[in-house]
Amino acid sequence: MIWLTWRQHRAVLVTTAVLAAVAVVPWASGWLDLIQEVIRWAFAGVVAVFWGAPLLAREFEERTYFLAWGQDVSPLSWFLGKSLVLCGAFSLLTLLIEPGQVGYSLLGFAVGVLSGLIVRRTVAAMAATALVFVALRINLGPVASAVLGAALFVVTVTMLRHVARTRPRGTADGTPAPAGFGWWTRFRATRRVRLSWFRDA
Amino acid sequence: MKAMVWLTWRQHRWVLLSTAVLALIASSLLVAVDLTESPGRSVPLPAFYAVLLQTAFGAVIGMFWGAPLVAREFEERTHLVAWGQDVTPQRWLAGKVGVLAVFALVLAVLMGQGDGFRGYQDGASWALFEAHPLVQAGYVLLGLALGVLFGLLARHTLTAMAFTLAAYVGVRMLLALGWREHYLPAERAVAPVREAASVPKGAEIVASGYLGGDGEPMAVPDICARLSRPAACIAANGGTDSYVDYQPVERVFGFQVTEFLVCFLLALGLFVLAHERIRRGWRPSRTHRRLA
Repeated sequence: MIWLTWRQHRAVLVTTAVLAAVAVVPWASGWLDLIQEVIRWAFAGVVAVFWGAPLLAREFEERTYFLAWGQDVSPLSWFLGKSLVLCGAFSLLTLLIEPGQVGYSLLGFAVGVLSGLIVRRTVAAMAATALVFVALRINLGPVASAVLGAALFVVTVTMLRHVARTRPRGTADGTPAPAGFGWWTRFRATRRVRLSWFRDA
Repeated sequence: MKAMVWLTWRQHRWVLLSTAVLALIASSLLVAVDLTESPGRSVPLPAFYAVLLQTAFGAVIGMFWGAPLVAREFEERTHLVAWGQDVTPQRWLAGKVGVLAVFALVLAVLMGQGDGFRGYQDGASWALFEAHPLVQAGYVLLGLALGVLFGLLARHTLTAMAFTLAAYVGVRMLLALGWREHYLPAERAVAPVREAASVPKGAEIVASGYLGGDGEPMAVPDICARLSRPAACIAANGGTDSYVDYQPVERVFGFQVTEFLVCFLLALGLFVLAHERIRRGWRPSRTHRRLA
Protein backbone atom coordinates (compact mmCIF):
# COMPACT_ATOMS: atom_id res chain seq x y z
CA MET A 1 0.00 0.00 0.00
CA ILE A 2 2.88 2.35 0.75
CA TRP A 3 4.27 1.89 -2.75
CA LEU A 4 0.85 2.32 -4.38
CA THR A 5 0.05 5.42 -2.37
CA TRP A 6 3.42 6.99 -3.13
CA ARG A 7 3.13 6.10 -6.79
CA GLN A 8 -0.36 7.58 -7.20
CA HIS A 9 0.02 10.62 -5.00
CA ARG A 10 3.67 11.52 -5.34
CA ALA A 11 2.99 14.77 -7.21
CA VAL A 12 0.71 16.18 -4.54
CA LEU A 13 2.90 14.75 -1.76
CA VAL A 14 6.04 16.37 -3.14
CA THR A 15 4.34 19.70 -3.83
CA THR A 16 2.90 19.87 -0.33
CA ALA A 17 6.26 18.89 1.14
CA VAL A 18 7.88 21.77 -0.76
CA LEU A 19 5.19 24.09 0.57
CA ALA A 20 5.90 22.85 4.10
CA ALA A 21 9.63 23.33 3.59
CA VAL A 22 9.06 26.93 2.50
CA ALA A 23 7.03 27.45 5.65
CA VAL A 24 9.66 25.96 7.96
CA VAL A 25 12.96 27.40 6.71
CA PRO A 26 13.83 30.64 8.56
CA TRP A 27 14.25 33.12 5.69
CA ALA A 28 14.41 36.35 7.70
CA SER A 29 12.81 38.38 4.95
CA GLY A 30 9.56 40.31 5.23
CA TRP A 31 7.99 38.91 2.10
CA LEU A 32 8.76 35.27 2.74
CA ASP A 33 7.66 35.64 6.35
CA LEU A 34 4.28 36.70 5.07
CA ILE A 35 4.10 33.81 2.64
CA GLN A 36 5.02 31.49 5.52
CA GLU A 37 2.20 32.98 7.53
CA VAL A 38 -0.25 32.30 4.70
CA ILE A 39 0.96 28.71 4.31
CA ARG A 40 0.67 28.05 8.04
CA TRP A 41 -2.81 29.49 8.07
CA ALA A 42 -4.04 27.57 5.04
CA PHE A 43 -2.16 24.27 5.34
CA ALA A 44 -5.05 22.23 6.72
CA GLY A 45 -7.23 23.61 3.93
CA VAL A 46 -4.69 22.50 1.32
CA VAL A 47 -4.72 19.00 2.82
CA ALA A 48 -8.54 18.99 2.77
CA VAL A 49 -8.95 20.20 -0.81
CA PHE A 50 -5.97 18.64 -2.57
CA TRP A 51 -5.39 15.42 -0.60
CA GLY A 52 -8.80 14.45 0.82
CA ALA A 53 -11.29 15.39 -1.85
CA PRO A 54 -9.70 13.73 -4.89
CA LEU A 55 -8.82 10.49 -3.05
CA LEU A 56 -12.13 8.72 -3.72
CA ALA A 57 -13.71 11.20 -6.14
CA ARG A 58 -11.04 10.64 -8.78
CA GLU A 59 -11.42 6.86 -8.54
CA PHE A 60 -15.13 7.26 -9.22
CA GLU A 61 -14.78 9.94 -11.87
CA GLU A 62 -12.18 8.10 -13.93
CA ARG A 63 -13.88 4.82 -13.12
CA THR A 64 -10.61 3.34 -11.93
CA TYR A 65 -12.35 1.98 -8.86
CA PHE A 66 -13.41 -0.97 -10.99
CA LEU A 67 -9.73 -1.79 -11.25
CA ALA A 68 -8.61 -0.66 -7.80
CA TRP A 69 -11.27 -2.57 -5.89
CA GLY A 70 -11.21 -5.67 -8.03
CA GLN A 71 -7.82 -6.83 -6.71
CA ASP A 72 -6.79 -9.16 -3.91
CA VAL A 73 -6.78 -6.21 -1.56
CA SER A 74 -10.33 -5.57 -0.42
CA PRO A 75 -11.73 -2.06 -0.93
CA LEU A 76 -11.74 -1.51 2.81
CA SER A 77 -8.09 -2.37 3.36
CA TRP A 78 -7.21 -0.43 0.17
CA PHE A 79 -8.85 2.62 1.69
CA LEU A 80 -7.48 2.10 5.19
CA GLY A 81 -3.97 1.54 3.86
CA LYS A 82 -4.04 4.65 1.70
CA SER A 83 -5.55 6.76 4.46
CA LEU A 84 -2.98 5.54 6.97
CA VAL A 85 -0.06 6.43 4.72
CA LEU A 86 -1.51 9.81 3.75
CA CYS A 87 -2.56 10.65 7.31
CA GLY A 88 0.95 9.83 8.52
CA ALA A 89 2.48 12.01 5.82
CA PHE A 90 0.35 15.10 6.34
CA SER A 91 0.42 14.77 10.15
CA LEU A 92 4.21 14.80 9.97
CA LEU A 93 4.21 17.85 7.71
CA THR A 94 1.70 19.66 9.91
CA LEU A 95 3.74 18.86 13.01
CA LEU A 96 6.73 20.44 11.32
CA ILE A 97 4.85 23.60 10.42
CA GLU A 98 2.46 24.19 13.29
CA PRO A 99 1.92 21.37 15.82
CA GLY A 100 -1.38 22.87 16.99
CA GLN A 101 -2.96 22.33 13.60
CA VAL A 102 -2.81 18.52 13.39
CA GLY A 103 -6.44 18.28 14.51
CA TYR A 104 -7.50 20.64 11.73
CA SER A 105 -5.57 18.67 9.12
CA LEU A 106 -7.23 15.44 10.26
CA LEU A 107 -10.65 17.08 10.07
CA GLY A 108 -9.87 18.49 6.64
CA PHE A 109 -8.77 15.14 5.29
CA ALA A 110 -11.87 13.41 6.69
CA VAL A 111 -14.20 16.07 5.26
CA GLY A 112 -12.48 15.84 1.89
CA VAL A 113 -12.66 12.05 1.67
CA LEU A 114 -16.30 11.94 2.75
CA SER A 115 -17.39 14.62 0.30
CA GLY A 116 -15.46 12.81 -2.43
CA LEU A 117 -17.39 9.64 -1.62
CA ILE A 118 -20.74 11.46 -1.64
CA VAL A 119 -20.23 13.80 -4.59
CA ARG A 120 -18.03 11.48 -6.70
CA ARG A 121 -16.69 14.30 -8.90
CA THR A 122 -13.30 15.79 -8.19
CA VAL A 123 -13.91 19.50 -8.79
CA ALA A 124 -17.32 19.50 -7.13
CA ALA A 125 -15.94 17.56 -4.17
CA MET A 126 -13.12 20.07 -3.82
CA ALA A 127 -15.59 22.96 -3.78
CA ALA A 128 -17.82 21.25 -1.23
CA THR A 129 -14.81 20.42 0.92
CA ALA A 130 -13.58 24.00 0.87
CA LEU A 131 -16.98 25.32 1.94
CA VAL A 132 -17.59 22.81 4.73
CA PHE A 133 -14.03 22.91 6.00
CA VAL A 134 -13.89 26.70 6.27
CA ALA A 135 -17.17 26.72 8.17
CA LEU A 136 -15.95 24.03 10.60
CA ARG A 137 -12.44 25.42 10.93
CA ILE A 138 -13.69 28.78 12.16
CA ASN A 139 -16.07 27.33 14.71
CA LEU A 140 -14.14 24.38 16.18
CA GLY A 141 -11.04 24.04 18.32
CA PRO A 142 -8.25 21.61 17.40
CA VAL A 143 -9.38 18.84 19.76
CA ALA A 144 -13.03 19.01 18.71
CA SER A 145 -11.80 19.00 15.10
CA ALA A 146 -9.81 15.82 15.64
CA VAL A 147 -12.81 14.11 17.30
CA LEU A 148 -15.19 15.18 14.53
CA GLY A 149 -12.61 14.11 11.95
CA ALA A 150 -12.43 10.64 13.48
CA ALA A 151 -16.23 10.41 13.53
CA LEU A 152 -16.48 11.45 9.89
CA PHE A 153 -13.81 8.90 9.06
CA VAL A 154 -15.90 6.15 10.66
CA VAL A 155 -18.90 7.32 8.63
CA THR A 156 -16.78 7.20 5.48
CA VAL A 157 -15.59 3.67 6.19
CA THR A 158 -19.15 2.50 6.84
CA MET A 159 -20.44 4.10 3.66
CA LEU A 160 -17.53 2.79 1.64
CA ARG A 161 -18.14 -0.75 2.85
CA HIS A 162 -21.74 -0.45 1.75
CA VAL A 163 -20.81 1.08 -1.61
CA ALA A 164 -18.16 -1.52 -2.29
CA ARG A 165 -20.42 -4.40 -1.34
CA THR A 166 -23.33 -3.30 -3.47
CA ARG A 167 -21.08 -2.36 -6.35
CA PRO A 168 -21.70 -3.27 -9.78
CA ARG A 169 -25.33 -2.51 -9.22
CA GLY A 170 -27.16 -2.09 -12.47
CA THR A 171 -30.74 -1.88 -13.59
CA ALA A 172 -33.19 -4.64 -12.93
CA ASP A 173 -32.74 -6.31 -16.30
CA GLY A 174 -29.02 -6.72 -15.75
CA THR A 175 -27.68 -3.86 -17.88
CA PRO A 176 -24.96 -1.90 -16.08
CA ALA A 177 -25.70 1.42 -14.45
CA PRO A 178 -25.29 4.26 -16.95
CA ALA A 179 -22.18 6.38 -17.03
CA GLY A 180 -22.11 9.50 -14.90
CA PHE A 181 -22.13 8.31 -11.37
CA GLY A 182 -23.96 11.21 -9.76
CA TRP A 183 -26.27 10.23 -6.96
CA TRP A 184 -29.33 11.09 -9.02
CA THR A 185 -28.24 8.88 -11.89
CA ARG A 186 -27.54 6.05 -9.54
CA PHE A 187 -30.82 6.58 -7.79
CA ARG A 188 -32.70 6.45 -11.05
CA ALA A 189 -30.78 3.42 -12.19
CA THR A 190 -31.31 1.42 -9.05
CA ARG A 191 -34.84 2.50 -8.21
CA ARG A 192 -36.41 -0.46 -9.90
CA VAL A 193 -34.05 -2.83 -8.10
CA ARG A 194 -34.94 -1.33 -4.78
CA LEU A 195 -38.66 -1.53 -5.55
CA SER A 196 -38.23 -5.19 -6.39
CA TRP A 197 -36.71 -5.78 -2.96
CA PHE A 198 -39.94 -4.60 -1.40
CA ARG A 199 -42.04 -6.70 -3.73
CA ASP A 200 -40.01 -9.83 -2.99
CA ALA A 201 -40.26 -9.19 0.74
CA MET B 1 -21.84 33.74 -30.83
CA LYS B 2 -25.28 32.55 -29.79
CA ALA B 3 -24.05 28.98 -30.09
CA MET B 4 -21.07 29.70 -27.82
CA VAL B 5 -23.35 31.26 -25.21
CA TRP B 6 -25.60 28.23 -25.32
CA LEU B 7 -22.67 25.80 -25.16
CA THR B 8 -21.02 27.63 -22.27
CA TRP B 9 -24.25 27.80 -20.32
CA ARG B 10 -24.98 24.16 -21.04
CA GLN B 11 -21.56 22.91 -19.95
CA HIS B 12 -20.98 25.19 -16.99
CA ARG B 13 -24.47 25.89 -15.67
CA TRP B 14 -23.95 24.01 -12.40
CA VAL B 15 -20.77 25.78 -11.42
CA LEU B 16 -22.21 29.11 -12.62
CA LEU B 17 -25.41 28.64 -10.66
CA SER B 18 -23.73 27.48 -7.46
CA THR B 19 -21.24 30.33 -7.53
CA ALA B 20 -24.08 32.76 -8.19
CA VAL B 21 -26.04 31.42 -5.21
CA LEU B 22 -22.96 31.69 -3.02
CA ALA B 23 -22.27 35.24 -4.19
CA LEU B 24 -25.90 36.24 -3.68
CA ILE B 25 -25.92 34.94 -0.12
CA ALA B 26 -22.58 36.55 0.69
CA SER B 27 -23.43 39.90 -0.78
CA SER B 28 -26.85 40.03 0.87
CA LEU B 29 -25.17 39.28 4.22
CA LEU B 30 -22.64 42.04 3.66
CA VAL B 31 -25.26 44.59 2.66
CA ALA B 32 -27.57 43.55 5.49
CA VAL B 33 -24.82 44.15 8.03
CA ASP B 34 -24.01 47.44 6.33
CA LEU B 35 -27.58 48.64 6.71
CA THR B 36 -27.95 47.86 10.42
CA GLU B 37 -27.81 51.01 12.42
CA SER B 38 -26.18 49.67 15.58
CA PRO B 39 -22.79 51.23 16.17
CA GLY B 40 -19.47 49.46 16.42
CA ARG B 41 -16.87 48.25 13.98
CA SER B 42 -16.94 44.53 14.73
CA VAL B 43 -17.87 41.98 12.09
CA PRO B 44 -20.60 39.46 13.05
CA LEU B 45 -19.84 35.82 12.22
CA PRO B 46 -22.13 35.33 9.18
CA ALA B 47 -20.73 38.49 7.67
CA PHE B 48 -17.23 37.21 8.43
CA TYR B 49 -17.88 34.23 6.15
CA ALA B 50 -19.02 36.69 3.51
CA VAL B 51 -15.89 38.80 3.98
CA LEU B 52 -13.79 35.64 3.55
CA LEU B 53 -15.54 34.92 0.27
CA GLN B 54 -15.10 38.53 -0.80
CA THR B 55 -11.38 38.31 -0.12
CA ALA B 56 -11.02 35.05 -1.99
CA PHE B 57 -13.58 35.55 -4.76
CA GLY B 58 -11.06 35.93 -7.57
CA ALA B 59 -9.37 32.71 -6.46
CA VAL B 60 -12.70 30.87 -6.44
CA ILE B 61 -13.44 32.03 -10.00
CA GLY B 62 -9.93 31.12 -11.13
CA MET B 63 -9.89 27.67 -9.53
CA PHE B 64 -13.41 26.53 -10.29
CA TRP B 65 -14.26 28.39 -13.52
CA GLY B 66 -10.90 29.08 -15.17
CA ALA B 67 -8.68 26.12 -14.41
CA PRO B 68 -11.04 23.30 -15.47
CA LEU B 69 -12.14 25.15 -18.63
CA VAL B 70 -9.43 23.81 -20.93
CA ALA B 71 -7.78 21.30 -18.57
CA ARG B 72 -10.90 19.15 -18.34
CA GLU B 73 -11.25 19.06 -22.11
CA PHE B 74 -7.71 17.71 -22.39
CA GLU B 75 -8.07 15.37 -19.45
CA GLU B 76 -11.27 13.76 -20.67
CA ARG B 77 -10.05 14.04 -24.26
CA THR B 78 -13.22 15.88 -25.25
CA HIS B 79 -11.05 18.51 -26.94
CA LEU B 80 -10.97 16.19 -29.92
CA VAL B 81 -14.72 16.70 -30.29
CA ALA B 82 -14.87 20.30 -29.12
CA TRP B 83 -12.17 21.56 -31.45
CA GLY B 84 -13.06 19.34 -34.40
CA GLN B 85 -16.14 21.43 -35.26
CA ASP B 86 -16.70 24.43 -37.52
CA VAL B 87 -15.59 26.69 -34.68
CA THR B 88 -11.81 27.00 -34.49
CA PRO B 89 -10.15 26.33 -31.12
CA GLN B 90 -9.24 30.00 -30.62
CA ARG B 91 -12.80 31.12 -31.29
CA TRP B 92 -14.06 28.40 -28.99
CA LEU B 93 -11.74 29.72 -26.28
CA ALA B 94 -12.58 33.36 -26.93
CA GLY B 95 -16.31 32.63 -26.87
CA LYS B 96 -16.19 30.64 -23.67
CA VAL B 97 -13.91 33.05 -21.86
CA GLY B 98 -16.04 35.98 -23.03
CA VAL B 99 -19.26 34.50 -21.72
CA LEU B 100 -17.69 33.41 -18.45
CA ALA B 101 -16.01 36.79 -18.01
CA VAL B 102 -19.29 38.66 -18.43
CA PHE B 103 -20.98 36.37 -15.92
CA ALA B 104 -18.03 36.73 -13.52
CA LEU B 105 -18.13 40.52 -13.81
CA VAL B 106 -21.81 40.56 -12.86
CA LEU B 107 -21.04 38.45 -9.78
CA ALA B 108 -18.03 40.63 -8.95
CA VAL B 109 -20.18 43.76 -8.96
CA LEU B 110 -22.52 41.92 -6.60
CA MET B 111 -19.64 40.89 -4.32
CA GLY B 112 -18.29 44.43 -4.15
CA GLN B 113 -21.46 45.90 -2.70
CA GLY B 114 -20.99 45.69 1.05
CA ASP B 115 -18.05 45.70 3.42
CA GLY B 116 -19.41 43.62 6.31
CA PHE B 117 -18.98 46.31 8.97
CA ARG B 118 -21.96 47.38 11.03
CA GLY B 119 -23.30 50.68 9.80
CA TYR B 120 -22.83 52.01 6.32
CA GLN B 121 -19.36 53.42 5.82
CA ASP B 122 -19.89 56.59 3.90
CA GLY B 123 -16.72 57.61 2.21
CA ALA B 124 -13.71 55.56 1.33
CA SER B 125 -11.33 53.76 3.65
CA TRP B 126 -8.02 52.00 3.05
CA ALA B 127 -9.04 49.11 5.30
CA LEU B 128 -12.03 48.34 3.06
CA PHE B 129 -10.17 48.77 -0.22
CA GLU B 130 -11.40 45.45 -1.66
CA ALA B 131 -15.07 46.13 -0.92
CA HIS B 132 -15.65 47.90 -4.22
CA PRO B 133 -17.23 46.55 -7.43
CA LEU B 134 -14.36 47.75 -9.62
CA VAL B 135 -11.66 46.10 -7.52
CA GLN B 136 -13.63 42.85 -7.36
CA ALA B 137 -14.10 42.99 -11.14
CA GLY B 138 -10.34 43.26 -11.63
CA TYR B 139 -9.64 40.32 -9.32
CA VAL B 140 -12.23 38.15 -11.01
CA LEU B 141 -10.76 38.79 -14.46
CA LEU B 142 -7.25 38.12 -13.16
CA GLY B 143 -8.29 34.85 -11.53
CA LEU B 144 -10.12 33.68 -14.64
CA ALA B 145 -7.15 34.50 -16.88
CA LEU B 146 -4.68 32.72 -14.59
CA GLY B 147 -6.94 29.67 -14.44
CA VAL B 148 -7.41 29.44 -18.21
CA LEU B 149 -3.71 29.82 -18.94
CA PHE B 150 -2.61 27.27 -16.33
CA GLY B 151 -5.28 24.87 -17.53
CA LEU B 152 -3.94 25.18 -21.05
CA LEU B 153 -0.35 24.63 -19.90
CA ALA B 154 -0.92 21.90 -17.31
CA ARG B 155 -3.64 19.95 -19.17
CA HIS B 156 -4.62 18.41 -15.85
CA THR B 157 -7.44 19.83 -13.77
CA LEU B 158 -6.03 19.31 -10.29
CA THR B 159 -2.59 20.60 -11.21
CA ALA B 160 -4.07 23.61 -12.95
CA MET B 161 -6.23 24.38 -9.90
CA ALA B 162 -3.26 24.18 -7.55
CA PHE B 163 -1.09 26.41 -9.74
CA THR B 164 -3.92 28.89 -10.17
CA LEU B 165 -4.42 29.11 -6.43
CA ALA B 166 -0.72 29.61 -5.76
CA ALA B 167 -0.28 32.18 -8.52
CA TYR B 168 -3.40 34.09 -7.56
CA VAL B 169 -2.42 34.27 -3.89
CA GLY B 170 1.05 35.45 -4.94
CA VAL B 171 -0.19 38.19 -7.28
CA ARG B 172 -2.88 39.28 -4.85
CA MET B 173 -0.35 39.61 -2.02
CA LEU B 174 2.01 41.49 -4.31
CA LEU B 175 -0.76 43.92 -5.24
CA ALA B 176 -2.17 44.42 -1.77
CA LEU B 177 1.09 44.63 0.16
CA GLY B 178 3.67 45.70 -2.39
CA TRP B 179 2.40 47.70 -5.33
CA ARG B 180 -0.74 49.36 -4.04
CA GLU B 181 1.05 51.93 -1.88
CA HIS B 182 3.11 53.11 -4.82
CA TYR B 183 0.51 53.84 -7.50
CA LEU B 184 1.21 57.54 -6.75
CA PRO B 185 4.19 59.04 -4.90
CA ALA B 186 3.35 59.27 -1.21
CA GLU B 187 2.83 62.61 0.48
CA ARG B 188 5.22 63.52 3.28
CA ALA B 189 4.44 65.09 6.65
CA VAL B 190 7.45 66.60 8.39
CA ALA B 191 7.90 67.71 12.02
CA PRO B 192 10.88 68.71 14.16
CA VAL B 193 12.95 65.71 15.19
CA ARG B 194 11.61 65.54 18.76
CA GLU B 195 7.94 65.61 17.67
CA ALA B 196 5.87 63.11 15.77
CA ALA B 197 4.67 64.27 12.35
CA SER B 198 0.88 64.47 12.25
CA VAL B 199 -0.94 62.58 9.54
CA PRO B 200 -4.46 63.38 8.27
CA LYS B 201 -7.27 61.13 9.48
CA GLY B 202 -7.75 57.87 7.60
CA ALA B 203 -4.45 58.04 5.72
CA GLU B 204 -2.46 54.89 4.96
CA ILE B 205 1.08 55.18 6.36
CA VAL B 206 3.68 53.98 3.86
CA ALA B 207 6.95 54.75 5.65
CA SER B 208 8.28 56.79 8.55
CA GLY B 209 11.67 57.77 9.91
CA TYR B 210 14.03 60.71 10.23
CA LEU B 211 15.44 63.21 7.77
CA GLY B 212 19.11 64.14 7.76
CA GLY B 213 20.47 67.67 7.22
CA ASP B 214 20.16 67.27 3.43
CA GLY B 215 16.41 66.65 3.67
CA GLU B 216 16.73 63.01 2.61
CA PRO B 217 15.67 60.07 4.81
CA MET B 218 18.65 58.92 6.88
CA ALA B 219 19.58 55.47 8.16
CA VAL B 220 19.01 55.21 11.91
CA PRO B 221 22.40 54.57 13.58
CA ASP B 222 22.66 51.28 15.49
CA ILE B 223 23.15 52.97 18.86
CA CYS B 224 19.88 54.88 18.42
CA ALA B 225 17.86 51.93 17.11
CA ARG B 226 18.25 50.19 20.48
CA LEU B 227 16.70 53.06 22.42
CA SER B 228 12.96 53.27 23.15
CA ARG B 229 12.98 57.08 22.63
CA PRO B 230 15.62 57.59 19.98
CA ALA B 231 14.81 61.24 19.14
CA ALA B 232 17.61 62.84 21.17
CA CYS B 233 20.13 60.32 19.88
CA ILE B 234 18.99 60.94 16.29
CA ALA B 235 19.31 64.68 16.75
CA ALA B 236 22.83 64.20 18.09
CA ASN B 237 23.69 62.15 15.00
CA GLY B 238 22.60 64.79 12.50
CA GLY B 239 18.87 64.17 12.17
CA THR B 240 16.86 67.37 11.77
CA ASP B 241 13.27 66.25 11.22
CA SER B 242 10.98 63.28 11.62
CA TYR B 243 8.79 62.37 8.69
CA VAL B 244 5.85 60.14 7.76
CA ASP B 245 5.06 59.18 4.18
CA TYR B 246 1.34 58.53 3.69
CA GLN B 247 -1.37 58.11 1.11
CA PRO B 248 -4.32 60.38 1.96
CA VAL B 249 -7.78 58.87 2.13
CA GLU B 250 -8.97 61.02 -0.81
CA ARG B 251 -6.85 58.87 -3.13
CA VAL B 252 -8.71 55.62 -2.37
CA PHE B 253 -11.06 55.78 -5.34
CA GLY B 254 -8.30 56.64 -7.77
CA PHE B 255 -6.24 53.75 -6.46
CA GLN B 256 -9.21 51.41 -6.80
CA VAL B 257 -9.51 52.39 -10.45
CA THR B 258 -5.75 51.89 -10.85
CA GLU B 259 -5.92 48.47 -9.23
CA PHE B 260 -8.72 47.49 -11.61
CA LEU B 261 -6.66 48.68 -14.57
CA VAL B 262 -3.57 46.79 -13.38
CA CYS B 263 -5.57 43.57 -12.95
CA PHE B 264 -7.38 44.16 -16.24
CA LEU B 265 -4.14 44.62 -18.18
CA LEU B 266 -2.53 41.60 -16.49
CA ALA B 267 -5.60 39.52 -17.31
CA LEU B 268 -5.64 40.78 -20.90
CA GLY B 269 -1.99 39.80 -21.29
CA LEU B 270 -2.65 36.33 -19.92
CA PHE B 271 -5.70 35.87 -22.18
CA VAL B 272 -3.63 36.89 -25.20
CA LEU B 273 -0.95 34.38 -24.19
CA ALA B 274 -3.57 31.63 -23.89
CA HIS B 275 -5.12 32.64 -27.20
CA GLU B 276 -1.76 32.57 -29.00
CA ARG B 277 -0.90 29.27 -27.42
CA ILE B 278 -4.12 27.64 -28.61
CA ARG B 279 -3.94 29.35 -32.04
CA ARG B 280 -0.48 28.04 -32.79
CA GLY B 281 -1.97 24.59 -32.49
CA TRP B 282 -2.09 22.19 -29.61
CA ARG B 283 0.14 19.22 -30.05
CA PRO B 284 -0.44 16.08 -28.06
CA SER B 285 1.42 16.34 -24.76
CA ARG B 286 4.50 14.22 -24.20
CA THR B 287 2.50 11.72 -22.17
CA HIS B 288 -0.13 11.44 -24.88
CA ARG B 289 2.52 10.97 -27.55
CA ARG B 290 4.09 8.22 -25.49
CA LEU B 291 0.74 6.49 -25.04
CA ALA B 292 -0.11 6.72 -28.72
